[in-house]
Amino acid sequence: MTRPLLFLFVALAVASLVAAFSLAGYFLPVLVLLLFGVLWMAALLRRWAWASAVGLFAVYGFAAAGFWLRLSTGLLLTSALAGFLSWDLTSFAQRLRLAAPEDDVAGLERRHLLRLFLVALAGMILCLGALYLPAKVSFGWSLLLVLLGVWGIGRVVNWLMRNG
Amino acid sequence: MRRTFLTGLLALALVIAGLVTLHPAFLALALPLFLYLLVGVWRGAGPLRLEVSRTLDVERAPVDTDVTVKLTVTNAGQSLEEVQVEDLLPAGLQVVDGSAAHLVSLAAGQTFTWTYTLRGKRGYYALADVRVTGRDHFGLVASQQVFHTDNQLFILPPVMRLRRVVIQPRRTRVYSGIIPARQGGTGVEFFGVREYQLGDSPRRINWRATARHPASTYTNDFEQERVADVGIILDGRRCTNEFNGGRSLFEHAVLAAASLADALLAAGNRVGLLFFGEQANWTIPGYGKVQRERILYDLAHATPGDVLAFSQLIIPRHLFPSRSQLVLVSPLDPDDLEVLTEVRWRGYNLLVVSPDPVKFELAGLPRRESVSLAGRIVQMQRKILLGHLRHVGIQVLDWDVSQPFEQATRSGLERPPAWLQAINSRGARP
Repeated sequence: MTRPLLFLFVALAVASLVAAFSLAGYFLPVLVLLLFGVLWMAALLRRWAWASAVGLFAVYGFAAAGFWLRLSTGLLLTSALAGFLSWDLTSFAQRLRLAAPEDDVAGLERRHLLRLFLVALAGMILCLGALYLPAKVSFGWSLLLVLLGVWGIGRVVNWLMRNG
Repeated sequence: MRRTFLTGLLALALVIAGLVTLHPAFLALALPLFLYLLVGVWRGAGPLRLEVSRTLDVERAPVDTDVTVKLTVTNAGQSLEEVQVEDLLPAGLQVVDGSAAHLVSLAAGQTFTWTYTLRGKRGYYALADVRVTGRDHFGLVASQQVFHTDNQLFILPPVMRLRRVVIQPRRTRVYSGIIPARQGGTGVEFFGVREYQLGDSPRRINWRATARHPASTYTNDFEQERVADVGIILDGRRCTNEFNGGRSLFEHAVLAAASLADALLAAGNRVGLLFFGEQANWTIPGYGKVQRERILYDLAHATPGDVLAFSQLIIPRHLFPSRSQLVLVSPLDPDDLEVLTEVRWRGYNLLVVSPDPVKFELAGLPRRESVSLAGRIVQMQRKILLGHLRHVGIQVLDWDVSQPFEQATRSGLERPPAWLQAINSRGARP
């Protein structure tokens, strides 16, 4: 179940980006994206786990570029989220390969997907909220919040790396 | 850790980009990643508090026998979402059924038990470590610990049942056995005729001799049969046992030593083992099934080594007095002739069981004319060496390992060679 979903999300990530760029008439990035999608799929078929990290960065990079060019927000968000899900599922599929045939792989998959989709849904809602809810924040507050965010993420990453 | 770093890096890059460009979409893109990291930390695996135990259905098993391993893991701590349990097996053991690693979820207090089957090459294996890795569902935070257990497994060498191994040492012990002792007494083989003594059974009177010499009465005497001291020397030198391409004769030599020990102990003899490899290791001589187990355990440990030279071979006289029987299991090296001759001249009866290294090595080489010619030359050298050994009174069994050892002993060891019988019947000293 994990691997079909993985391919589905890769296809969704690339297709959303292609749609966003092609609707706005940017055809060169579309060609690059199509080539990138084919390579990503091929890497997944060959079980090259590192390719998903490259894919994640690339999808987020294209999505950021799309936001900069004011392309369709929905398509870009869908693409970023699908890329993120495919990156997680690649790692999960890799871990599942360590399971013995008699292990409850279906149960592990079910629980993992449930949590992942909940997190993705919550992330999506937060994203949309951040983009569409009108909130007037002064520059000083924005700066403070951003710095706090950077500090918080740094602390989390540091803690995870020490304990991981 | 790499995934955590990547997620954090991407989130940070987006936050910084958002800050620099004052574009809210970049910050919005970072939010799912931030949430993902937070959930990973929140549901991350804490310290592992597990009880791990392992049981084996047998602790000693012959080669190619299945051994069932049962592993039990009990979670005495908090609930673990994704736990990978790996039984770390030493090299040489192979899982033939089931799996030595599992991926499970363990609730608090839950016990997970599984069994699997393994097989192994000859040897001693310490099954000591079980590695457990606990992760959160996203695989961001991992906690790994190795749990120690005290299990061991002996894979004993194969033993072929030999029907009979004839040895004729000149010195025997006092207990009755099956080795002719060259002394008259009770036995089954005719030994000679002597004058009748009071107490002799009338059934043993030799009437023909008595009729020929009517002045006295003569009685048949039979050869006593006793047990003997036998020292088996296993040559574990790497230079004689190992060949190009990782091929080794050593397992064949171990099989021969184990089978000979088994047969000689079954005949009631007192048998000891000297393993001559990286260091000389004696199994003190003894009798019976316990001694058989001791020898098999020691053979299970034996691995070829390169430290000692054969010239350093010392036979302790208090264990094996002169004229007792020694059995050397060795592919032989041309330099061994001098040492073996010296052992023979010290009064020991020596039997050399030699797995043929030339045929063994040739079987692994390409069939070329040059190889064939070289093989013939080396084979001739070996024949000369074996001829020299026989010439000094050493009994030699040249074993082509492509044949079963049992078959080789049937023709070579079930009856003594004529020259040895002649020497023994004359009572000649070497």
